[in-house]
Amino acid sequence: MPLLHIEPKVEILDRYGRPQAIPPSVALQRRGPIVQVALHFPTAFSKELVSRGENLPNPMVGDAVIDTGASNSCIDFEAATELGLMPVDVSRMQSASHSDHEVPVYFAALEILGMGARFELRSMGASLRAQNLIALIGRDALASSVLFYDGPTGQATLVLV
Amino acid sequence: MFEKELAIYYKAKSTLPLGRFVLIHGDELVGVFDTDAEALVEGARRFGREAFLVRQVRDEEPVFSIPALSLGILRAPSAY
Repeated sequence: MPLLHIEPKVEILDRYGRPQAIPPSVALQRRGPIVQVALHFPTAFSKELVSRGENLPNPMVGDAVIDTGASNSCIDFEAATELGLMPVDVSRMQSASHSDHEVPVYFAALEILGMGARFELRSMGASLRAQNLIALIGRDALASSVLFYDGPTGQATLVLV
Repeated sequence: MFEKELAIYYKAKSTLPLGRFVLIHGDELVGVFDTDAEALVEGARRFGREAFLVRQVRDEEPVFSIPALSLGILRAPSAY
């Protein structure tokens, strides 16, 4: 079974501006279970484009946070646009500050690097770039996974079943 | 976004089979498919990179919940 150990590394600057590593348990609590992902065109779509003689862009590589509180996965608007992904739908997203708002929905392939796991999902567009993320992995992807979150050791393990 | 396609979808919705996926391009309801991947392939085959709508037919449209985004708590500063 594909398996990935996650142990985020976080450094903070001390009073002299020197980077200092913080304990793994705090790093995991602070940064969350972060994995490196590659954002691709979905397989079916890319095959069709290739058969038409079109060149496919290179996948976008960046960080994604695993969020068990999210019903669905999200990808960053800007990353989707840079990759050339087109929205295939719109959906409503709950908001704390105002009424539900409309967001674009993309059909994208999300590959978790170092694990060999690839999810092809309808993903909502969200503004994640400011958080240095290109994706948020929600419970739709986790539906086929087991996630062990070990707070005391600062490690998480993701297993694809 | 998808104003024309959604107008077509809601106009035809009562006649569409629940649970299946529709492909709509502009004013045209192109077809109904068992999976969204099948609808996507057909959309790519016919329209390439032009925008097209792929939607599952449901009684009620879902509202998704991403608290980390909606509450603005994604990577909020910790007490550390």
